[in-house]
Amino acid sequence: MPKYPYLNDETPFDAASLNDRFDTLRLTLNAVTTDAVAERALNPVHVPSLIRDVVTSKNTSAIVSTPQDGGNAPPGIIVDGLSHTLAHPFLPGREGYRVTLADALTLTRASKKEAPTALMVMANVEVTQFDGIGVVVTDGATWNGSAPTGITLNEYTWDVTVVLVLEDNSGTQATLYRTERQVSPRVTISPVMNEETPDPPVPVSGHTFLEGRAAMSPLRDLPGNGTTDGLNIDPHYKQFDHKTYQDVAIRTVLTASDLTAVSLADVKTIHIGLLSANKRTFYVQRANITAIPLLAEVV
Amino acid sequence: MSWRYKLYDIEPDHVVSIEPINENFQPFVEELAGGLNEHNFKADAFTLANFADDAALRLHQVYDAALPDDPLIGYANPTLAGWAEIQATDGWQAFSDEGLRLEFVGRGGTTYLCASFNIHCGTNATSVPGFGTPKYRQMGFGYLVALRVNGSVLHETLLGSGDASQDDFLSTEFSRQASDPTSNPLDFDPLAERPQGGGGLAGARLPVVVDALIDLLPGNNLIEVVVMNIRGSMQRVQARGAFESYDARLTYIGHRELFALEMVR
Repeated sequence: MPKYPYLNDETPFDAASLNDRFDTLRLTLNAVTTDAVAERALNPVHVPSLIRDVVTSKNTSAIVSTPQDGGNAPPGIIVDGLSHTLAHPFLPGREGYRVTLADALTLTRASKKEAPTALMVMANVEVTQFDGIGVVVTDGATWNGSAPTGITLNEYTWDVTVVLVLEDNSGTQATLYRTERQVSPRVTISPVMNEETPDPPVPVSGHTFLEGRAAMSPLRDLPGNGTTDGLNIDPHYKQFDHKTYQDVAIRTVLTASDLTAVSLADVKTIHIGLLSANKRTFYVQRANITAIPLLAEVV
Repeated sequence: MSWRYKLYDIEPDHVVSIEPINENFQPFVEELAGGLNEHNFKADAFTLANFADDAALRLHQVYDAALPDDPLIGYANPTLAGWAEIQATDGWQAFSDEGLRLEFVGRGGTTYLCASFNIHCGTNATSVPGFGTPKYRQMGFGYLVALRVNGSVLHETLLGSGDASQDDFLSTEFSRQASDPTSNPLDFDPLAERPQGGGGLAGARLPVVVDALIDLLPGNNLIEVVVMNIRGSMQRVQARGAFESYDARLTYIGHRELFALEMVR
């Protein structure tokens, strides 16, 4: 809009100056279109924010174990990797792993003009450890005269897969495949047991690891007995502390086309789904998920 | 818009002064200039039904076409899975694949940029059937990941490290000297004597999120996910003869999503 030319003491004050001012307003008013004053005509000048009904579900210190609680809190969730698929992942179904909206959303304004058109989702889950890891103790007689040790945890064939699962108002669930994320365990490759590094690597006779490529404890650079001098020193558990503490983060924005793609009429609840593509068993502990309904133009 | 009335009648026998004229104009000008306030509207006057979709937020989004129900299919057939190739070369790499490149015409202003994706650097196998060769490979420097806006890498989005002046890594030099604890009898820490291992994101499977809140210029904007395979060190173990065939120098980005949320107001 043009700024009104304010009349001051020194401003020419005559018929022409008055006519100019009236013309300014007249032209401006005549330029206002019907759309500009119709429904949905309010524009960013009038609106500070169109984000509403944000819901967050997160673990609290009351339901996860911490080093300070002495093990009194639940130890997290164990997920059996054998029985879950991407289409049907394990859903913990508890606080932190799911979020339920105040109202089921269609993410379209076709039937409800107040409906948001997008749903931003932020999910995080912590994988604490894998289960079923074996300790490898070599026979000094068969390997270079020494007896190094390692673990069977291998980052290539151990995984946790996380995916978002949408649930509509009637309880029907569908996996949103594009949100699938995989994480492998942290594995340190230590110099111990890796002194020979043929390239390409070759297997150590009679064992499940490669010469020069043995996986070690995820968090320790000198696991096992820590020697290659042939001494028969058995490893102890702490040297194979296979906790991994990996965080998996997913960010996405859902729109109406996503609901169409998974054949859901609306979305009411969003779950963090868990599985292992390589059928491993693992623990998760902390998780949180936030859903932010937005009125946004989906360009 | 609310009803407005002129404040003063200017009668024929009145002395004409500029003040009442200014004040008569002002209510209409304020209305046209959008000078609305709490006196114009009651508290619940507006609902979302009143607003255009783009009143405050505009969403630009790209993502890959996910193949259903098999998280491992990309390891056997990355092309079928739609995985994007990361080359084993140094320097920043951008991608033309869907979900890693977003070009749009923006209105300008505060914009939230976010990329969420998965890097795969492995074969998902420890041995070749019938061949028996395990597939481990020691990896050194990992990846750096960032967002690039109109050709400039946003350093605040940079994820990973990898300072070549500090991280001494050569993947073929897991030497006997370095692995022998007796080579440094003072502290029995061979790593201290000859550090091995590099910076950057490293692992067989890496879920990654990078994001930033920036002021974007109005007009055409290009947002890209960029990856640096530091010294080209992230590779897979070499394929073995007739039992398998793949390019060991390629690693991949699997499922991915990139979006920009323009915060017009």
